[in-house]
Amino acid sequence: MCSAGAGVTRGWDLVSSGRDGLSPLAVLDSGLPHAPLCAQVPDGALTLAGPQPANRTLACAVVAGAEAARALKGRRESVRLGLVVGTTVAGMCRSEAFYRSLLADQSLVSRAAVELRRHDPSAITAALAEVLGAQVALTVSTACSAGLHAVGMAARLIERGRCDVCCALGADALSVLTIRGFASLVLLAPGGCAPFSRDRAGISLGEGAGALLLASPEAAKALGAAPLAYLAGWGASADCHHMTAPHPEGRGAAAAVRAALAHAGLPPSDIDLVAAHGTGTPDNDLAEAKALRDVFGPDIPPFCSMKRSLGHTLGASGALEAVFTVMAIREGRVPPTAGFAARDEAIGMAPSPGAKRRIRAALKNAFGFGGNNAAVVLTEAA
Amino acid sequence: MKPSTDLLRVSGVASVVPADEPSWAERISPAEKRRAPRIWQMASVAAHRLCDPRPEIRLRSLVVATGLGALDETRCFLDGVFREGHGSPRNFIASVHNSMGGKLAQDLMIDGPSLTLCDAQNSFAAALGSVDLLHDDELPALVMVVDESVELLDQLLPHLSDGCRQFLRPGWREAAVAFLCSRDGAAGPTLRAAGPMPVADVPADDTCGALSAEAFGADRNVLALAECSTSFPMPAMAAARLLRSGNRGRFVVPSYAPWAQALALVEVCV
Repeated sequence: MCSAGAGVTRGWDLVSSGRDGLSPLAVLDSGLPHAPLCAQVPDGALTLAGPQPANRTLACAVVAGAEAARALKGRRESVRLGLVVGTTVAGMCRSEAFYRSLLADQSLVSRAAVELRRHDPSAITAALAEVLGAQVALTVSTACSAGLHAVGMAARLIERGRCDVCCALGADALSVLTIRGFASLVLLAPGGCAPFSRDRAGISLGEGAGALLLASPEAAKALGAAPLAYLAGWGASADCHHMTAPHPEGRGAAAAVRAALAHAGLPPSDIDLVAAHGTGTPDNDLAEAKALRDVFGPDIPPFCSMKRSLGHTLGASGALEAVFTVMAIREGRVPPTAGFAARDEAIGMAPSPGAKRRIRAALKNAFGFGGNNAAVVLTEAA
Repeated sequence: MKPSTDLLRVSGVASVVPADEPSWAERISPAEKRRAPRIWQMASVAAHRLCDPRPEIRLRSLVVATGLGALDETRCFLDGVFREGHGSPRNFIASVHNSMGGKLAQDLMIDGPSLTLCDAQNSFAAALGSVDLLHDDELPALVMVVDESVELLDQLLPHLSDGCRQFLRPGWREAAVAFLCSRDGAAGPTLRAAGPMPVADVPADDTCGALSAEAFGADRNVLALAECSTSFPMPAMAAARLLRSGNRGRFVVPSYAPWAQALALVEVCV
């Protein structure tokens, strides 16, 4: 689920063609004098979640989760199914509207049970667990790295034998809290994000959900499901540096990438694509570039950022962009970086203009508030 | 129900329960008292109580478990936006669930995996489940279970569902509870979790007993749900109390999250 609507095909078409997915904010009133450019899920796609979903985050999650679960082909009973959800906004997109109305009219407090029913991050997970029939469910909320941690944790749940199949899902919706929050930090790019570009001036928020169904080889065989790709490694680290700014040398990011590569048992030279976090803020992109140079040396693989197409979908971004990283591997295509205009000499490298290329292994990064870093390595299916 | 973790060895436990010790914040500097949210201060004090006497231990990972995180910071930020037209960036940063983990990692120089789990009353069990996912070179881990009471929540509680009122009682005791967890085979007390797992209805105590027997074996002393799951940090507080008591035995702390309609069990072996 993304600004292109529901389904992997629509999203991949958006990302692989390098189209701009941003438009002036219309799904809510942020109270800002000018509507910021955001990537918004079309209302038509949200209706796929069924009548009256509790909130937009849950609607996105349900649609994405149901699509990923199609690989179960009605044989869910034959496997132990787990679920890991990464989210940061969760039901806040609805709760904040309720709170606003409460400030104006206290008598509305009687509606709290209905309005706050799916406020809590675990309530999003629970609703999904019910839809999917998951037997073990975890909710991770590490800001912008949550979706990618969910992918790594899902893989480890299988590795540790806690389940045979695990749905890793990241979901978040646009909200007043995040739009006004990033505005208060002066991090919203007035003209939309321009990842790795000399003129980059901040992020553009988005909403959506991405889901990956991971399975042990035995479970995939039992389901009759041919793998689309392999999750080869997950790395996680903390910057120990600053609450919002990345380590200026990208040390924490590099540590997460190294850990993911080590877990995958691959040298850096085996990576054919880096799907960067690439938010478009001056500090983040510079730090990520330094981290890549630290790990890869002068031979940086082709890299891209999907943020201008998908927006920065916060807790969803890691999982959502991992979905399209899998597509890049399968289609043998390095996506272009929408919004990139001019090389920044301080960064010293430019994203790929987009190219056909065999991608045997790809690195996906996601970094979040509090200096929280995640990286995964995905490899092509044999 | 099956265990969702191996046995995790506990080599230390510390806690802050503000209601029990009015001077809990003494070690916080005046500057931190002004700048840092109260919930961060609680977590910081509990973490230092655990770590300062053990300078030889190098923590590799951090797992924070919280039901609502710094909800009061969220409220302050939204108050600013809705009432005055602008919110404080400091409130916004603090409102992010993971910020507390970032601050703890920075403070204690834990540069490995840092995860924040938000599974309401089941957050403690979920945190143990996450520790179980870490590789040996990513351990030991600091598990921090922390939640504060929020006035806004107390105002809303009478209007929430029956389940919420049953398992989230007004005026509950806020707390930060820290555990030092590893997977090595040395002797000592252990923790083990099962779940969180969706359940159809609020489980009765005999249901918890049956599920505990299925997960861990029949000879466990299963605590009553009403004794250990009527607030977010309560399951961890119950486990800490058992670990500190020194009374040898095998206990099970059940927790139930009404918003998620999910049950979890934590086995405590002393």
